[in-house]
Amino acid sequence: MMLLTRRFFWSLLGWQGLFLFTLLFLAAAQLSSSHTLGTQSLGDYLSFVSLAPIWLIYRACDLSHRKLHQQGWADEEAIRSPRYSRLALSEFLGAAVALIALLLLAGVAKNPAGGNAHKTSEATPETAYHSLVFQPTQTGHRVRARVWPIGSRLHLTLQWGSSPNKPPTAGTHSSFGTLTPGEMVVVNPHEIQIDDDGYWVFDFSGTSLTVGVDDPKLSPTMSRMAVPRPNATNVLPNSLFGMAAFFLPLLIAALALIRHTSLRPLLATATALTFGWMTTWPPLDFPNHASAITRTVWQATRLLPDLAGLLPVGHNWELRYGTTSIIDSFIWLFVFGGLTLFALLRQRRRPKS
Amino acid sequence: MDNLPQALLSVNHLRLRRGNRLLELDLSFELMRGQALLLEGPNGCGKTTLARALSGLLAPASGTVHRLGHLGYCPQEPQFPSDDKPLAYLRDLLALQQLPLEGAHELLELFGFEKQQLKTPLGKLSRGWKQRLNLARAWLGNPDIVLLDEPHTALDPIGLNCLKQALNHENAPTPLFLAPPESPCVALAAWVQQIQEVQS
Repeated sequence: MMLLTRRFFWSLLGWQGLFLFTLLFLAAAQLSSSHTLGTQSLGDYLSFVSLAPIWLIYRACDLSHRKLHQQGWADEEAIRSPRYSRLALSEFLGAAVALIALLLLAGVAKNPAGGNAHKTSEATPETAYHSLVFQPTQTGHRVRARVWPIGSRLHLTLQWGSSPNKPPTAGTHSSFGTLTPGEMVVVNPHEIQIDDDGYWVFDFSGTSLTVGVDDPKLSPTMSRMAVPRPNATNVLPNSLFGMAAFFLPLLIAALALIRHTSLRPLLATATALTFGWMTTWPPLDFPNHASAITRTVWQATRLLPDLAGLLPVGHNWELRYGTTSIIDSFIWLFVFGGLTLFALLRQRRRPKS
Repeated sequence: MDNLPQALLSVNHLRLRRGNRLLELDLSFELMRGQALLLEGPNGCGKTTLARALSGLLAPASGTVHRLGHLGYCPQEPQFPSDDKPLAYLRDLLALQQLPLEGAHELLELFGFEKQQLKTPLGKLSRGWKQRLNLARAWLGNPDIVLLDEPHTALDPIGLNCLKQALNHENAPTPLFLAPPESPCVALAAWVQQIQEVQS
C-alpha cells in the first residue's frame, strides 16, 4: 500500500511539479504583498494557491482514469484485489498527501512576506467593505447576512423622507436605539437576531426607507461594513487548513466519480468543483420572475453546509474568513467526506457477460 | 474420498454473453493440478470472452465456474502503463496483491529480460517483449493456474522457449491455454479440447 501510495504521489507531482508550484507560490506571494504589483491582500495569495488543489484534483482524476480505462489496471485489480479497495485507497492517500504537501509549500512560500501583512494589520486594523447590497422588497430592505464576519460592525445611515408614524416593528429595532433620520448607527450584526432563513429584514411598517451611506465616496445604494483584519500570524495556516478541508472531500468525490461512472476526468473534476462551489453561494432573494429551476437550485444549495469560510479567497476574503461553523465543517469533512470515501472504496461492478 | 485430487478449475455448461449476443459454448471440463489443457477454437469463437469468464472478470450468463486456488491471467491483448518500467510495474502489481516485492526481478529474468529491456519504458517495448512481460505478469504471486490466451502471439523462438521453461520450472502453475487450431501451444499442452459454439 505504501509503495502504491508513494508511486501515485510521485506520478501526480514529481520533482518538476513541486518545482513549478514553488515558483508559482513565490510569485504569488510577491504579487500579493506588493503595493505596486498587487492588492496586498492575503486573499489574492490564497486565490493563486487554490489553483493548486484544483489542478491536483484534475490530475488525480486523469491518472486514475488512465489506469482504469487505458492501462488494464481494472482487470489487474479485479484479479489481485478482490475487495477492490487497495488501488482506490492508494490513489486517495497519494492525492491527499500531495494536496497537503502543496498547501504546506504554499505556507512556507508566503512566510517571507508575512512581516508585511503584519505591518499592514497594525497600520490599518480594519477593512471597510461596501459590498452589502440591499435588496428592495415590498416591506423594506433586506441585507445578505447568512454569516457575519467575526468582529464586524455595520455602519448605516438611516434616512426617510417623512417620519414614520410609529417606530420600526421588526424585532430588531431595539438594536438601533433611538432612530433619528440622518443619524449614523453602528451595529454589531452578531447581536441582532436573524430570522430562520438567514436574512436580516429591515421592516419599518411599510414606510419607505432608504439606507444611505456615511462615506460620501461610496455608492448611495450601499452601506459599509467594517471588518477587523484577522491576526496575521494565524490567518495563513488557518486559511490553508480550511482550504485542505474544503478540497479533500471534493478530491474523494471526483475520484469516486471516475471510478464508478463513465465520466471523463475533466467532467468529473468540474462536477465535483461545481458542487463545492455551490456550498459557498450566498443566500439571495430572487425576484418573482426568476425561473423555477433557478429557485429550486438555489433552495437546494441552502441545504448544503455553508463553506464560504473555508475558502477565503479574493480581495474581500476577510468577509468570509472564519465564518464557517464547526458543525458545517464537521458535516462537510466527516459526513460528506465519509460518504464519498465509502463510495470510492466500494466494489466496482463486475460486467455481466 | 478426501484423498481424491480436487479440480483447480471446473466448468459446467457455460453460457456467456458477448455484447448483445448470447454465446452458447456448452463447455464442461475440469482442470486438475499439473494437467496442461488447451482449449482450441477458431477465431471469433469466444476464446477471449471465455478467458475473461474463467478469470472472474465476466459473470457467466448461465452455468458455473468453480475455481480453487489463485489464478494468473495472460490476456490476448495486454495493456501497460506506457511510462512505467517493467520492474516497477510488476512491483506495483505485487503491492496491489500485498505480496513481497522480491519476486518481480526473478520473474523478469525467467522470461529473458536483460538490462536493456529493464531500462526501457513499457510504451517503447516491442510487441514481443510486451508479450513476455504479459506472461511474467500472469506468473506473479505464484498462482496455481495460469490462464494463457494465445500466449504464443508475437513471441520469437527464444520467447517460446522461455515460456516452456517457465512451465517446466519447479512449482510451476498449471496452464490452461486458449488458442486457435495448430498453434505452437499444442506442443505445450497435454490435453486438447475443442471449443464449439452450439447453435440453439
